[in-house]
Amino acid sequence: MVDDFDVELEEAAQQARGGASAPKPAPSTGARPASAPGSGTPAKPASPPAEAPGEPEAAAKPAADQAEGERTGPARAMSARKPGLIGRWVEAISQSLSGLRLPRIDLATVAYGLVGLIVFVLLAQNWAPVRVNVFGVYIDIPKAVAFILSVGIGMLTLWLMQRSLGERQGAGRR
Amino acid sequence: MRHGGLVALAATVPLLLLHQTEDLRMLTRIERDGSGLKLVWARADPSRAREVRTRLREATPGYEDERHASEGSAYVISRSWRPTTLRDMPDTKLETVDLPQRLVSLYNEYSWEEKVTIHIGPATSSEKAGAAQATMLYILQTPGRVDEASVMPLGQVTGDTVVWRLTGDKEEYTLQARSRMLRWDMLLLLVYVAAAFAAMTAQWAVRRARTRPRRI
Repeated sequence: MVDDFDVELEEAAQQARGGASAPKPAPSTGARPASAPGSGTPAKPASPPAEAPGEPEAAAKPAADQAEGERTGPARAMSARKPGLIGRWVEAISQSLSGLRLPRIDLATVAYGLVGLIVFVLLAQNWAPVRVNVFGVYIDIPKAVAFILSVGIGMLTLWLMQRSLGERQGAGRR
Repeated sequence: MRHGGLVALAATVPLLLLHQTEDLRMLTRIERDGSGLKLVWARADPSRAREVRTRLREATPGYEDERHASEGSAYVISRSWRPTTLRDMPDTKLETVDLPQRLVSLYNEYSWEEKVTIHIGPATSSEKAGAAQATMLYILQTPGRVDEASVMPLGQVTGDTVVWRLTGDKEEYTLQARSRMLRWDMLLLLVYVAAAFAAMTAQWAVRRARTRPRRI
């Protein structure tokens, strides 16, 4: 894509080579010619209206233009502001970062991991053995295991009760 | 068991037991939550099994578990008790510095002190005379590494274990030790949170870098 900046650079290079034949844009103000919206190329500057030869002002005008041209020099391209040291670093880092392909980490994954880790830490903190009396036989098991076992036994009992109740209700309906 | 078995833990060892056994060991294990294990283990000649068993039961009335075995030609007996806390026992002192006591620290600290009494009792004069040769081992296992400078009287320190050799010629010993344990679980949590934060920040930076307009 060619923008105004490139066109101006090209024209400036032509002028530097001595391309006098090319129409010269008015350099005095430095204002860029308006480009047609959406065209992508700048509109050519309107050529100055042809003056009728022989008129008294006609001879004086080119001389004034020439003098003004010598004062301001050839048309120059507007340079973009160069980034500083930090700017260049930031750009280099952001360019290298943009090439990275990191695994996607969302908040839910982090939260699940955190919950798992907290459970693990709680298990580790409650790993001190506790003594269980099983009909006179003393068994030392970690507190966490005892807790999980008791919860598991409770769940199993409830599940078995629910299942047998469901079977009984099903048989009654039939 | 009187007073929830606390009386049982006043470590009084009869001198006779030291004489009757070939090897007598007392173990105290401190868990990180302040609970622990008290265990007395003895090896004796099988001919003295009954006496040793009786003496050991007298010395450890609150100990709930008892096991017997024979190692080669020797008789082995062990009695143990697992109290829910070692903090409130007579003749013992356990101080723990955990999260509630000191929130911002890398370590948990445990200070242990116990008074062990050698009870001369009905020992004969010859047994009293040979008291210096009658020995027992007291083993303390703590959570974390034991600080060697804190061990009183001098004992053999290996990592989380201190071993004292007690002789029958001294009536009372006051054993002290201190240990420190790294809070690795809390560190693990902190590292995870920091890593997650870093990863999400990196992800945000990459996304921002991609959407940033580039110079042509």
